[in-house]
Amino acid sequence: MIKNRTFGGDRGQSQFQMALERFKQNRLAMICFYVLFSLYLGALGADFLAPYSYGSEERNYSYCPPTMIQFFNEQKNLSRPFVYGRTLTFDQYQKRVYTTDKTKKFPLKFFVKGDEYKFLGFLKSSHHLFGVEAPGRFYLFGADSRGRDIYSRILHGARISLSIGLIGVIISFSIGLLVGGIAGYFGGWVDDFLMRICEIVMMVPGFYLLLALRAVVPDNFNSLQVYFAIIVILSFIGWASLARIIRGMCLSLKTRDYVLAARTLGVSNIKIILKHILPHTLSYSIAAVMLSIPGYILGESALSLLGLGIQDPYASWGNMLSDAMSIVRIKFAPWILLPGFFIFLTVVCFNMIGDALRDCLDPLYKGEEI
Amino acid sequence: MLLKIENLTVKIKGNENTLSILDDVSLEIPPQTIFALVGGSGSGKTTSGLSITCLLSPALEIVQGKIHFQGEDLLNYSPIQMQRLRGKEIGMIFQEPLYAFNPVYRIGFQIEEVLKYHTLLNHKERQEKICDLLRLVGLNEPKRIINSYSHQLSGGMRQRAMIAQAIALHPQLLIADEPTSNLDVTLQAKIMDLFLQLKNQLKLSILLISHDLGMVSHLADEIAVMMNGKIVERGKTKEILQNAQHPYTRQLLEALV
Repeated sequence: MIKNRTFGGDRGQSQFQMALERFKQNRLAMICFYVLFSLYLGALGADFLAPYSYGSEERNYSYCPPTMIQFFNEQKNLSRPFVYGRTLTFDQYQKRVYTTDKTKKFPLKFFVKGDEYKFLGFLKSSHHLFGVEAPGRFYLFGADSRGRDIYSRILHGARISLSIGLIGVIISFSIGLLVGGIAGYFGGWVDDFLMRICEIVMMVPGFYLLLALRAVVPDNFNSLQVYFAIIVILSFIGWASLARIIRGMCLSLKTRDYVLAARTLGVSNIKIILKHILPHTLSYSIAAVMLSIPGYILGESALSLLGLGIQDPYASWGNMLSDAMSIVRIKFAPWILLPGFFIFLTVVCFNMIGDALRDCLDPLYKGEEI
Repeated sequence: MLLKIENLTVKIKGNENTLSILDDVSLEIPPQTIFALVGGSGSGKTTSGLSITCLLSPALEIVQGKIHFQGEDLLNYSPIQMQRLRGKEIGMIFQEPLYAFNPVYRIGFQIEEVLKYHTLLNHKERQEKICDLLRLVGLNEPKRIINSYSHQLSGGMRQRAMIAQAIALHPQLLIADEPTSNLDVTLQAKIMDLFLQLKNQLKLSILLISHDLGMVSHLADEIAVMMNGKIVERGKTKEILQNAQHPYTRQLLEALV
C-alpha cells in the first residue's frame, strides 16, 4: 500500500483505488455488501435454488406452517434429514389445523427433480438444489393462501424487487446527471428551463405522481410490460432532485481552471461536461445512488401492495405482502410477513453501503481518528 | 501578420456607462516572435488573451474591434469553428498548472485528449507523440509523467507538461498567461529558455502575458505595456528599455532596479 503511494511508483493510485481500500476497511459495510451480493445471487439462481417455481400451488396446503426438518427417526437415531407428511383438518371454528402424519416420510434430497425451468434463460433443467419428491411438499418458510412456497416466491420475487432498484436508478441517474450537468454548465435560459421542469416534477407529492402515472399505463399490458412501465415511472420521479444538486455542483466546477484549459484545447462542450465536470460529482452521486435504491424497491412494493404493480401469479416482495394486509391472516400465519423482512434487510444494507461510500469517496476524508 | 487586433473594446454586458475592461486595444504579432504584454494587475492583459480565443467570461462582451488571425476574422467564426481552432492553431498556457490539469485524470490522458479530438492518430501513435512532446519540453522520464496525476509532479514539471499539452498540435500562436509567476527564479529562467527554444524549433509565435518587465525584456522581441485596459506604449524591446516614453513604463523600469 505504501509502495503505491510513493512518488517512485509507476502509476499513481487513482481516486477510485484509494476509495476501494478505505471501503474494504469498513467491516459493517463489507458485511452488508456480502448480504446484498448473496441476495442478488439468490435472485439470479432462483430457478435452481428454490424447490418450486413461483406459480407452483397446492391448495390443500393453504397457509401451511413452515415444515420442520427431522434429523432423528422414531427410534431416536440420527438419520438423513427428512420431513413428515401433513394432513389438513378443520376445527369447530373452521380454522385450518395441520397435523403431522408420521406414517409418511419424505427424505430431503439434493438435486431433486421438480418443476421444469430454463436456467439463466437457456439451460433447460428440472433439478432443484434441494427439496422432497412429490407428493411431499417442503415449505421452508411456510406457504401462502394458495399453498405456494414462500421461500421459493421470495427468491423469484427478488428478481423483480432487486432489479427494479438497479435499473431504475441507472435510468434516473443518467437523466439527472445529464440534465444537471447541462443546466449547470450552460446556465442562462437553458438552466432556467431545465430547472423549472425539475421543480414541476418535484412539486407533485411522489406517491400521488406514482399513482397518477400508473393510471396512464394501459390495462392490457402483460406482466413484462408492466414491469418496465413501473421502472420508467419510478425513474421519472427520481431524477429531478439529483439534477438540481448536480446543477449546483456544476456551477462551481465549471469555473475551475481545468475546464477553461480543456476549452482552450478545443474540447467540445458535451465532452467537457461528461469528462471534466461530471466525474467530480461522482463522490456525491455514487453515495446518492446507493441511498436512493431503497426508494425504488419501496416504491415498487407500495405499488404492488396496492395491486397496481406486478400481478399474481408473478411474485414480487410487494405483492406477496399484499396477502398480509389482514390482521387475522398475520395472526394465524405470521410467516407471510417474511418478504417484508427481506425488504427491510435490503434497504438497511443499501443504506449502510451508501453511508460507507460517502465517507470513502470523500477526497478530504482523513480517517476515523480525526 | 499572424495576429492582428484592431481597436478591441470589451465592456461588461448590459451596462453602457461602465469603464471599459479593454479600451481600443490594437496590437500586431508577426510570425515567429515573442510578443510580451506587460502591465499591472487588472490592466486587461488576461482579458486580451482570452478574447483572442473567444473564451471571455459570459459577463463580458466585445463591443467593437476586429481580431484577425492568419487573415481570418475570428469574431465571425461560429462556436464550432472556434472550437476547431483552439488547441490546433492557438494554444494556451495558464498561470497555475496545478489547477489547469483535471485532478481526476492522469497527465497522459489529458494530453492524449487533445490529440484524440484533433488528429486521426491511433492509440499507439498518440502515446509515442506524447513521449516525444514531453522530451521536447525537457521531461526526460515521459513514461512516468504520463502515469502521474498532476498533484504528484513538482511545479516546474507541471508547467512543462502543460506546455507539452499546449504545443501538442503545433499551434501557430501560443498564449502564455503569466506562465512563470508561481515558479521560483531558477525555474523561471529555465522555462524562459524553453520558450526561446520552442520559438526557434517549432517556428511559433508566443504572446507572453506577464507583470514582470525585467524577465520579459530578456526574452521578448516586442513589448506592449498596458494600463487600465489601454495599451500605453508599444515597440521593440530595445527601444522600450532604452527610451521609454510613458511615465507608467518608466515606473515599471524603475521598479526593476
